[in-house]
Amino acid sequence: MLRRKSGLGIATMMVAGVLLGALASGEVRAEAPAAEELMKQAHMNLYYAGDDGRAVVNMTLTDKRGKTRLRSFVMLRLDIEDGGEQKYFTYFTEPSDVRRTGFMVWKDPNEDDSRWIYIPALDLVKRISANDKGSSFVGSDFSYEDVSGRHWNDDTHILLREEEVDGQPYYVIESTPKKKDSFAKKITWIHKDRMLPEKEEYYDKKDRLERVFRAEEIQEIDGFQTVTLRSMTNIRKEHSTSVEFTNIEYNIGIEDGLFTERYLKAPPKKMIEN
Amino acid sequence: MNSRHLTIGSILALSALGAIPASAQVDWHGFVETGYGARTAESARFDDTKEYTLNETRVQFRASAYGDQGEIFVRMDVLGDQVADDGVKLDLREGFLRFTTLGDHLDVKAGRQALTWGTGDLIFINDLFPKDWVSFFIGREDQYLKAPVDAVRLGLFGLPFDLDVALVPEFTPDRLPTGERLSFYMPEGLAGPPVLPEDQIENGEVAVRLSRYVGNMTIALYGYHGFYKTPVAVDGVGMPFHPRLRVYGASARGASLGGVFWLEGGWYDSRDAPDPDAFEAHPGKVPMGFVPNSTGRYLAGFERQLADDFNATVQYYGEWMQNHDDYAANLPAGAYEQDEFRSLFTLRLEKWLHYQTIRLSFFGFWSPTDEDTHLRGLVSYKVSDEIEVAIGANVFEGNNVETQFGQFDENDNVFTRLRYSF
Repeated sequence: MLRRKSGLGIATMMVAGVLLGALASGEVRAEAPAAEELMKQAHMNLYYAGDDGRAVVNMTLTDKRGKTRLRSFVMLRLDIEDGGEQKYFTYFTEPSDVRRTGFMVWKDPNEDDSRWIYIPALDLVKRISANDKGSSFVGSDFSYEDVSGRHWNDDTHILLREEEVDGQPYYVIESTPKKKDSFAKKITWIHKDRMLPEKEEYYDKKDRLERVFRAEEIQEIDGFQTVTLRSMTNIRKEHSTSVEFTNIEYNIGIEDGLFTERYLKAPPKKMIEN
Repeated sequence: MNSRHLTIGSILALSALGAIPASAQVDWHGFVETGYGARTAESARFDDTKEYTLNETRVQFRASAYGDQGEIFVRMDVLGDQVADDGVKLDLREGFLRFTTLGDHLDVKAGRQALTWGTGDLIFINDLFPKDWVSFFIGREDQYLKAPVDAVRLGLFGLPFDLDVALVPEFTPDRLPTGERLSFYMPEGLAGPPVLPEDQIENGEVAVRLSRYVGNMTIALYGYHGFYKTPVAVDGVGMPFHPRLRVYGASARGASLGGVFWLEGGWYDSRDAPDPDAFEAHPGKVPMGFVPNSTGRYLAGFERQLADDFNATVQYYGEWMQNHDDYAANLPAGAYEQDEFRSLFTLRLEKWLHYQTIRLSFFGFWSPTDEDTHLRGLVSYKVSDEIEVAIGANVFEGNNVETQFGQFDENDNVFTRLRYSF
């Protein structure tokens, strides 16, 4: 778990990564599973655990002066097809001015998502434009795409190396978008046993490090390796977002019928209680 | 509230007893906001002492209690409005009970509430729920565009389509400028302020929507039975009134070309409009007063992202007047003649900056047929989760005082608001 690393630990990991990468290149790569298959498995574990899931999410946004803002919401997910279509429902409780706002996404990896927002003071259900995968999710360092998952098919992947960081074994994979995108290159560390992406570095087209994702805490919940604390840091803007998942449940029998305008406007208590 | 409403209320309250346990936890939220706005255009009507278009402080309280089957929700404003100069007033924005019954098939929401449907962005065809145009024009926050309405809303689910019915026992008109802080056009010869339909159950409003998700679209059919929301007619003695109205409409909203599109149409059946054939049959008879003809109204809109955190929306709205020739022939000499086809374009640009703490918003209405425009600009900054400051402007231009926005030509204003949320 990368959480336990201090700043020094991360530096050590980076150095170790470079050294190990240099030493290990060649023969290991030949035996290793295909990079795309690894990314697919990691993606499935991070975004498709169980058939459905529910969590109370607390997001803390910290700017370069150390000032924080908070977003709290209840999030429900239903997988229509493993690795394929999903439905999400998000109900905000904090901050006060967005309390009771509902947000619904029907995700289809092959098309643009369908998204709806409900603004309670106007009783307004609005379908919103969904080609903005790079737009910030509720003002955080996470984009919409980071929240619901970028499909492994959108990038080409190369296994750079395998390495140990603080005694933990990782695959290190480089991903390049097939089409022009908000980043030019992404390096992902996938834990060999847990098969979760535990660190990601996003680079711009001048090869400058822009954002870093970290799985800070991982727990086993209902048999699923679950990232319960994650963070995204924007290096240049010195802004970061940490996301804590609590009250996590899997396979609770969430029904497809919940992801409709009806319940977006009037969610039942069992859906939104935290 | 008359006895009829009380009876409906008690029945609903009784049915809700099971829905909300007494132990349900109540949570409290709200905000304190102060707003100032001033006229920037010269106005013949207002002297220096009336230059404020907005000068008020309000405290909003929101409370909700959730039960297993439903919810009670209250949103109440305590408002000190220096322009109205009528002391501190309570303004109940919402106060409803909501529960689900009939084996999960029927949602009931009863009491004071905001009601919205239809697809337009600040253009309303099949949404005949009351609007507060005063708030809209003086720079109050968007939520104040929707005037509260006392209604029972029923949602029936489980059929091949969803059925929504809104029953409004007492006709609730739009809130329009009264001349207190905005000047507006009033035809000459009016005998008094607008007359509302008598408060009888027959004069209530009924609005219905059938909707279904098909393919990648939500399609809907609408019906409305009631009255024009604004006093668009004048009777034989010169009193303005709300003539009877029925509206039949349809809409579709879906995703295409990387954005969201919507189409909506409605037939405004102006039931008090004179039948031209009747006049031909009785050549001596002249229509008394004035009632608008029926109109067909149609809207097309498209929204998409131009860059990260930057969205644009364009809309085209049109109106066609039935029997325009008869209308033109019967206008008093010198009166303003509306075109047979009226068209209106809108453009919205929304840009978010600095982790969405800064919002730059522009909305423009432009009608080539009415030759008028209304431009709305807003910059808001969230200093923290609690504190938000906003400044904005409303600009009206028109060649004729009789048109929708032209009449407000002298009401250009700038405003600022400061809000603390809790």
